[in-house]
Amino acid sequence: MRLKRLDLTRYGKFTDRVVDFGDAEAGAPDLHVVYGPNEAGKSTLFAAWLDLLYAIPLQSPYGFLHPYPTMRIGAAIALRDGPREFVRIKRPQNSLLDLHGQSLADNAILAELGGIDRDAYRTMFSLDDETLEKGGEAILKAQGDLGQLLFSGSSGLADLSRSLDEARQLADGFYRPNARSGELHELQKQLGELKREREQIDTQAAKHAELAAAAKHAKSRYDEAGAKRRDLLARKEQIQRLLAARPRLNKLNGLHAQCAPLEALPTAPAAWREEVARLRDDEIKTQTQAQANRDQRAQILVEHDAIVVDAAALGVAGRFEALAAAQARALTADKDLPSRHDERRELDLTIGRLLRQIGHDDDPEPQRFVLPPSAVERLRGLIETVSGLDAAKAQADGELDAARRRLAAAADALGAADASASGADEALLIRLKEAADALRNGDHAARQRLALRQVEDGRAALADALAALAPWRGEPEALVGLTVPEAHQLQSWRAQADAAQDRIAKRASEIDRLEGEIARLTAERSALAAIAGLVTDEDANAIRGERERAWTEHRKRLDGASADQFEALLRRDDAAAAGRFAHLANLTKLQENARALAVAEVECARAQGQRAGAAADADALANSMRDAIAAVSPLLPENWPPASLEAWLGRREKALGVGRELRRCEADLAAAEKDADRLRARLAAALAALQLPCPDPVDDAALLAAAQLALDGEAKRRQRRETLDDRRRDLEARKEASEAAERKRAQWAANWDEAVRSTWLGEGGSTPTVDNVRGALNVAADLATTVKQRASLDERISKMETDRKAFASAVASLARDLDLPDESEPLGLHRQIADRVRDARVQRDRKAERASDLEKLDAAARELDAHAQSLTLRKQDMTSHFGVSTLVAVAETLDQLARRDLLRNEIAEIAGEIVETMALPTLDEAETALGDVDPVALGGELAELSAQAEHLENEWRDAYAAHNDAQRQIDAIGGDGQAAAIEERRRTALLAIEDGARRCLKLRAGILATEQALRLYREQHRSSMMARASEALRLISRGAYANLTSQPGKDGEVLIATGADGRSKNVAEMSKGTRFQLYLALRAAGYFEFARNRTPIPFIADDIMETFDDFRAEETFRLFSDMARSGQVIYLTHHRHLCGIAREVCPSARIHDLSGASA
Amino acid sequence: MRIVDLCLEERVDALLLAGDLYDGDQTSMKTARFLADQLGRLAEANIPTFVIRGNHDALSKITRELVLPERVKVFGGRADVASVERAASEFPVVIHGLSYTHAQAPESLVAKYKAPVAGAVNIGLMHTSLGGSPGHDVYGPCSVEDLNATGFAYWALGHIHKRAVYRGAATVVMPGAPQGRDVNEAGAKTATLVTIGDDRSVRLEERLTSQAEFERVEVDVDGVSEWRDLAGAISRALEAARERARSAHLVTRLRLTGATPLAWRIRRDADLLTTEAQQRAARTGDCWVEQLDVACRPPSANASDGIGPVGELGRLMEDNVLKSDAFRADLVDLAEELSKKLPPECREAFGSDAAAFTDTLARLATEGVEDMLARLQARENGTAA
Repeated sequence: MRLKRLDLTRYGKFTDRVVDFGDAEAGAPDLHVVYGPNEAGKSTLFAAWLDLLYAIPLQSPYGFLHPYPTMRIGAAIALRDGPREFVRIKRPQNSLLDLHGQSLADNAILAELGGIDRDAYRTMFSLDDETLEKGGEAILKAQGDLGQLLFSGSSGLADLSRSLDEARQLADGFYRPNARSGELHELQKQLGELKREREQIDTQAAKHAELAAAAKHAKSRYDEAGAKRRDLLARKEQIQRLLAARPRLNKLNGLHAQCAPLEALPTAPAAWREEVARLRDDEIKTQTQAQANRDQRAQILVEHDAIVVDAAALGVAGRFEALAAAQARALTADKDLPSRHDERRELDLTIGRLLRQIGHDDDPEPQRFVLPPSAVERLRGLIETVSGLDAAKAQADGELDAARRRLAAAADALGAADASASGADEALLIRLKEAADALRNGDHAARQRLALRQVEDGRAALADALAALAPWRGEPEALVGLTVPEAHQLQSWRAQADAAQDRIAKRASEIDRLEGEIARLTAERSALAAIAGLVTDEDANAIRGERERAWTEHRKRLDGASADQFEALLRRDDAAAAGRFAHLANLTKLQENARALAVAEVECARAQGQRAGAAADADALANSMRDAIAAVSPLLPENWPPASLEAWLGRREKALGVGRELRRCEADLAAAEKDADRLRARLAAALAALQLPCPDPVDDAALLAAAQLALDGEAKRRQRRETLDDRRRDLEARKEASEAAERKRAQWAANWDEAVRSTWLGEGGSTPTVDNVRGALNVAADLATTVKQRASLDERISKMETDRKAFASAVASLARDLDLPDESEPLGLHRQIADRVRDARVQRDRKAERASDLEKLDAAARELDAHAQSLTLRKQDMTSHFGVSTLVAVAETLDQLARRDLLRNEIAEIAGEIVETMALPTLDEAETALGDVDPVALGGELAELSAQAEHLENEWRDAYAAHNDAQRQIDAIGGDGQAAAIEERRRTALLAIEDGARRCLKLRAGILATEQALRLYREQHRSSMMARASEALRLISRGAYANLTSQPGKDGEVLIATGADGRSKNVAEMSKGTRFQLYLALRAAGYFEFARNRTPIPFIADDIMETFDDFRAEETFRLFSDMARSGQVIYLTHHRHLCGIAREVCPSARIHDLSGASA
Repeated sequence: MRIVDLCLEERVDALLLAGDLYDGDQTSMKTARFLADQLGRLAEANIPTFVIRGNHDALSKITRELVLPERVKVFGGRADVASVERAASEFPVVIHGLSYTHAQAPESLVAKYKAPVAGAVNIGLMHTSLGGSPGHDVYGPCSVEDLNATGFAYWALGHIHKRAVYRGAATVVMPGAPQGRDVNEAGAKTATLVTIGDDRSVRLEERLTSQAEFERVEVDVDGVSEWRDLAGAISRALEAARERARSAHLVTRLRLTGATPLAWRIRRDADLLTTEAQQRAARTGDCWVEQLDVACRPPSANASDGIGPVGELGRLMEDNVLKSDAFRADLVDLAEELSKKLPPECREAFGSDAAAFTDTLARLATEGVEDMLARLQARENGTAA
């Protein structure tokens, strides 16, 4: 298999990139260096190659630019059966296609790979930095084991030894001889622990039986001791009761004797004892209270009768009280009156002063000078307005003067302008303006400019288009009339011509190939013929012919010479036959060669014939084309191909179009010029009508300037006239304003006069001035206030004096009724009356108080009487009950009853105690039981029993503890599943051990088998690979190592390298660099080994020489170049200098530059 | 406890236990007391229990020590008959029983049983391996025909862990263990609820007693090319198995079969996959993976096993090494050395007899080779193709 071309149509960063590796050159190494800077996509290239072979994986990192559905890789691959084209797209199935998009079975490629899968390809036929590094390490790790190294060299699987080590570690992890650790050890430890644990928590059956027996024995001991103990305690208790009850019975009998004499007394309610004491106290208290009451009543009666009441004073009390308000007013008047009189005199003086101010001294009627408010208001209003009217008049006069001056100025200005007036006709001026506007605003100028430029451009374009029609020459008009072929005709010619050319080209390439083949076969024939001793069929036939002829001659002559001749030829024929026989294989080749040659020659002739046919078709087509071209124009070359003619016709169409466009532009230009002329003529006419000078009638600017001058002059005059009119109107308005102000002032004077005369102000004959009136108004206002104050004061004085008189008469009337001596001073009299009335009231109240006290004392006396009676009744009840006469006797009897009750209680209590102590149902039974008791004998028995009880108690307790202990141990056994759980864990551990043992043995078996298989592998590949590897190592070490051999090592045969100096080195002694070289050498040997047996597969190395110096790089390329003699080797790099080294080492190496076009 | 619960729930007339209450030379009084407590619950509910001793019980010391409630009838070493308490108006039911006094019973016990009680429903309680069963020694051998000929209505048997029912003149039921012990005792385990109708007909019902059941689950990974899909296939298989299982817990042994490009990787990363499967099982709920066996192979189209150096090495191992006597001898040495280090209970880890030993070694060697090849195959890039 060989990669001829890789199309990165849409893959990774590539779009339509083709890397063409070309064909292999016979005899030259098939080495390729693909150069691309970092990120240029070298790895992408390798991935694309693998993806082409093995399909694009489900998840691809190369779909970032072209999404999955568009990804596409193509390749031309030389297979055993010849070259083939493949395309790979990304989809789950049927992703391999041929050039026509038909899907192919993946096997179309995979069959060639002989089942080497993607991973195997990577490991066997690619090499990168990492692999190299690992390879070097692996050599060391394998300790030079030959089998492993050969295997790793062939397979590219560097870490075989690591795999073996890992497997060994796993197996050791379970069990390793003489090791005190590992899974097995742990599990066994766990088993031991589980056993101990179980023994601890579990009770075995035998122990259980022991415990049960002990428990039973203790139980019976306990029961027996218990029974004895109970009996003893009962007897002891009985004795204690008898001894305790005896003294109590004696006491009971004593009490009965004390109680007997009291039994005859009648019973009485318990409350009586208290009641008797209370009754005695109450009786004494009631008697004392009655006496005190009677004494108090006598004393109060004396007081009551001693009080006398003033009846006359009480009789006038009402009238006196009604005088209170009048008395208050009389008091005030007495105090105020003198100051009121002073106030009034002052007011009189003020009025006199004011009258003097207005020149009416001592006028008896000051009231007359008070002005009514309406008059005051009117006068003040007039005073306020007069100054405004005067100012308005002055302003109007000033403005009138100014207006007169402005009118005169305007008249002057108009006078000057009027002198240049033409008195133009308004209609003519409007015509002039319209004409000027039309000329100014017209678009003719712009159109003219545009059309002119287009015409110029059009002419240039037409000239170009005509020039492009060379070799045809002529006027544009001539172009229109040409006879040209139809478009479909042209297409048909073109298709025919292409088809004919295609056929010719195809045939030519076929002829090339066949001629090559013929040449090769001819050369082969010559080579075969040149082989010594080989007799060709022709030669053999010639010799046989000569022999036959000699035989005929000899038959004819039968002489010695003919016989010699015949013999010579016979021998030659034999020799030829022998030669042919000896070179039978070559002869067969020669014959095959002849057959192949004949076939090739026939095929070549047929191809030539077909090429001639195609050429004839092409000629016929050329003829018909020639006629058509001649029909178009004799100026055109007759032998033009259809494409040229088609192009020329296209250019003609274009020239025609340019001509049409030019004519349209010229028409535009003419129309614009016509419009301009018309507008100018109209303006000139308008100027003429106004008899204005007309400048150059074709100069737009001059015409417009003349018109504008005329129009501007007229506008100025019109404006001045309007100004003069405005001034005149202004003057009239000013005059009117001045007159109106004058009228308003006169009206005011009339009003003033009238207002003054309607009051006392106008009394003097002449009209007073504004200032005079202003002063008089102020005085009149003060006067009015003062006069009003005086009237009010007079009224108050008179009222006070009236009150005083009324009060005096009322007081006098009361004094008379009370027979008081008449006094001139009413207020003093009033005070005396007041004293009398107050005293009378005090006496009256005291008498009423004493009367009320007497009534209360009478009521209390009645209540005390009733209480005394009830006490007497109760006393009689008690004395009669006991048959005594006094309450003191009653109290004594009650004391005796209380003592009897106490005795009875004590008797009952002691009787109860005896019954309780004896634990018998009744007292009688207890008395009987106690009848014949001997306390001394009982005391002796009790002491003995106490001694026995202590002993029994101990025995009973011991038995209880023993039983309890045994039972607790039995109970502690419990009924849970703990023992079963431990058993389960033990089983689990055992299962884990069995499982682990099998796993361990499985691993050991695998390791053992691998080691033995590696030895077999070593034996099978040793001879061929060692030779190759030696050679490769010698090559890349520049002869530093001459040879590789092996020698028996600890675990098998190990690899030894022999240096040029004859010294041997094992792998551990080699430098790291040397180990890389050794690994490379082994890989090369592996590749040769593969190629020896199978179709070689392209080998891809990815920049493994990063760290190599130039010498090593050179040697490495030498190795690759060597490998490239067996199969295609592609080296990917981003170091440009490596390209040079590769070329130097291997001139036939091809460099492909990924950064630009391929080299 | 589940059986006792069932008895109480169904208010049964009697519980019959046909021997082997304990496994092996059980001497734990704790376990025995647990049993006694549970039977005590039945006694409190006035349900009698009839027990015979099997070969394992005969070995057990606790059998002699254990004090069982009064309502538990334990048959002795001589055949005996006991009646089930019933109302006078109902037909009588009697139980025949005979206990093992030794751990061995090489001869049939049928003849030792008493003759059927006339007029009563006769039920026999016997510990027997019947005609023998793979994995079990012979105990009280007899045939179903022998039992049919006794005239008993029902034979309640014990010993074999797998359930079997024979309907004939007598209904013969070997109910099997109430709880499987390992994957060799797969499936749900039950007790048999027997109802004797008024017409003396015998009706059987299987009642689930296993807390956990074991199951071998085959996972077909044919054509699976993504690791993710592989895990998915395992999940699906586990879910289906869980769906089928009746016990509260399911313990599975997975076996992966079929042709898949992942075959090498599965073999190499079997530990990883086992962990993954265990996680998937946990997610399925009440489901566990006890072991994962790999029996899948790479697809033939991708037959790199015949090609290239690895293939060549594989072929060498298969064709030359595994068949060589030297290799076999080395392997036997390894196995024996290892075997000596194992605890006595595990000495038969590689087979109980010579033939089984050879077979096991051959199988382990083949698998070991496969494993090593898997380690080499998917080594370089770490991922599957």
